[in-house]
Amino acid sequence: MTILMDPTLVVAAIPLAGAALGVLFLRTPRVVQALALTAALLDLLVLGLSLESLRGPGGKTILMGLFILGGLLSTLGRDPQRGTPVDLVLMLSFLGFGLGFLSGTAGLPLFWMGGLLGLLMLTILREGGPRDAALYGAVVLAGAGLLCLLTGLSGSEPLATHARVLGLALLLPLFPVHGLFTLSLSRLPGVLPSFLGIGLPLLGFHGAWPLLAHLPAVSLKALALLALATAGFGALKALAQSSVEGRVAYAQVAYLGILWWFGASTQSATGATAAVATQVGLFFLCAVTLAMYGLLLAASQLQARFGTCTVEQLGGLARPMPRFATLLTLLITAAMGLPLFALFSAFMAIALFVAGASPGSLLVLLVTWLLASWQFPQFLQLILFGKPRADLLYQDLRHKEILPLVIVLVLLVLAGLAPSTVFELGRPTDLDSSIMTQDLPPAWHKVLMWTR
Amino acid sequence: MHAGMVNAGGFLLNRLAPLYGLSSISLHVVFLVGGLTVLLGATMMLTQNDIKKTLGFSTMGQMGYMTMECGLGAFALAIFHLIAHGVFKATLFLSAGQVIHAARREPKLPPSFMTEETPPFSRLTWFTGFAMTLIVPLTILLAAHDLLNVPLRDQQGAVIFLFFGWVTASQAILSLYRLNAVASWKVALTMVLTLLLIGFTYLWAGELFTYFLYPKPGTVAQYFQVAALPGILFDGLVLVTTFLIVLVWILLYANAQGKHFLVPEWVTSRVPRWHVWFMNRLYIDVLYEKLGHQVLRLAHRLDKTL
Repeated sequence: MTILMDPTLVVAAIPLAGAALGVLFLRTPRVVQALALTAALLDLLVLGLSLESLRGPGGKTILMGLFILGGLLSTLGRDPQRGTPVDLVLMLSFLGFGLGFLSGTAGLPLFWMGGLLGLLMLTILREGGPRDAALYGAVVLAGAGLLCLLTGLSGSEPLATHARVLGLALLLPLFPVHGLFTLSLSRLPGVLPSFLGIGLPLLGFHGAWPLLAHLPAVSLKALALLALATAGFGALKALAQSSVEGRVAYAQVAYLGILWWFGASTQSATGATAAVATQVGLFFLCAVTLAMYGLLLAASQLQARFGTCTVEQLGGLARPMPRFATLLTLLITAAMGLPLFALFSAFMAIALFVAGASPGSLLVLLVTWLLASWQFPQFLQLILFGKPRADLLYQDLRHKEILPLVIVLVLLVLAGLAPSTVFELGRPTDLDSSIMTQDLPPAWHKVLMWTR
Repeated sequence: MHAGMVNAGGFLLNRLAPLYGLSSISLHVVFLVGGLTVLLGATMMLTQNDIKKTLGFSTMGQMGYMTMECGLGAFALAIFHLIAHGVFKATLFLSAGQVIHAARREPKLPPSFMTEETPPFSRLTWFTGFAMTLIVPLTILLAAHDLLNVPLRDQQGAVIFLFFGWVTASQAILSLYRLNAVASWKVALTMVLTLLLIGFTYLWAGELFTYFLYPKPGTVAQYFQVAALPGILFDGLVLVTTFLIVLVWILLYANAQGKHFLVPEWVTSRVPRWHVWFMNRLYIDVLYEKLGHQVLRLAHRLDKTL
């Protein structure tokens, strides 16, 4: 009975129960959508009520909150009349497994992660045709990820840590094992791309970030180089993508490459420096995933209207869809890392953190930022401007569809304006102690001043 | 668009003052970029044949000027500049439409009012301009330095405020002379008022903005300290600018007297080519477009391979 009242188990059990019930009502999409909404809201409630018992290192509650919110908003913006609700059932299952992994229920993170990867493999196989090499490549990657996690459980150090980091790099994408992530975002149906776009990196960060401190210096250097390659590769690949989801997926890969680089460069530190680096990394992760999540939600609205269209086929949306155009412009502003929104503040936090260490790091950050965000103005121009097509039936966003996008924008603004409060950056109990003056880089004083 | 988008860059630069304030090299790079922008923006502005493009490149020059102020650590002065420039340039952009409309209705090309003869040289106007640009500011500077014992040599920050105020006033007086070089006490009086207005406004607004934006004592001094250029370089820049302003007045005088300076043949033969280059914005946008195409080709190749 005590186990059943354990909040770490309850948060994972609610969406899984919702998924099980949803299977029974697959013929009535409205019921499944109501179930998904109820499960997500209940989860948020449980999380709110048991904040103290769930609190843990690395901003666990923030990750869980964002993960549940992703599920809630994806469901909220979905039109129940469009297609079967299998995607909602799958989303609830992913939410359950993911929350189990995040909350660390009963010390069985591998069970939850294994379940999630297994389910992801099945979902991809369900979508694939007989000759779809990319899909099968992603399935193989997911299988390899499972194998890595198993090796991490049973192998000896340092092989185990390396294997676990590699397995989790499938979720927090790192070149060359980014395929599972990009395919999940660009090929899966319904609400899954947007939900997995926010969910997978959160899970990867939660699992991989603490492990970085245990990697040897040589591996961290190699990881930093690989991360920079990821940022450059993602930025270039994004330019060549024809679908909106594909572009956003690779843009996210580029940004998360910067996060890997930051982690590999800072996690060899100890004490307060490492703690602050984790907070900054968490802030950056949340800012990136939230901004990209907004774009993926907008992409799902387009897909619901026009089906699978290339970016070039979509041009001229500004005039017939003014509400969508306004929201997309704001989301792209946020995704580029421009001021007012969270990603800008996150970049500033990283810039101030690395500037004190070496000017070269600052240069690396600025160049990768420029590369990763370079495609967005062209992307915006291609979608919004030009002549509307006569053969498409344009329909602007309805109030129900606007709401999730507005919530994402509000969250991005709130996080951008008040990072010190939202992400516990510079909490007096953590940082304003004597330890701060001893081993924090001098630039961090500026971070605190700036974020307040 | 002008008031919002352009100023966003300047605002961002100011907002990041704590970051830039960490490194002297960064501020020197900002100063260099600002200086180059001023030179390129102003030169391109002079070669454009379209009023909106002219205003656009003038804005580029002004932004460079403001960036230079930031690079010297005068962030508060840059904010004042940003607001002042936003107001006057927005007025010019709004008036541009009226000018274009009037030009379209003008049957003669160029418009009849542009074909008037150049007015005869006015000693009163020239000497007032010269005195207001050079003699009066120099007298004030020497008085402050020697009589009031203000140690200007040791205070780059104060010199920056005075210098930028002086350059702006000189620019305004020169423009006034170029547009209204007639013998008139009204023009002469306007020149005097221009110097007083710009000089006092710069000093007053500079101080006011400094206390408003950086109330904590020592912050501004710290920025100036970090941004300080080597003494010889700073003095050299001030001297070169002063020399250029004096040269302009001498050239104006010589031209009015019908005298011309000898310009080497290799310079005059290249001027038309330079004009075309600057009119086409040094083909930078063409290069950027080509670079974009190359990157896109590389991206597609990479997409096929990996």
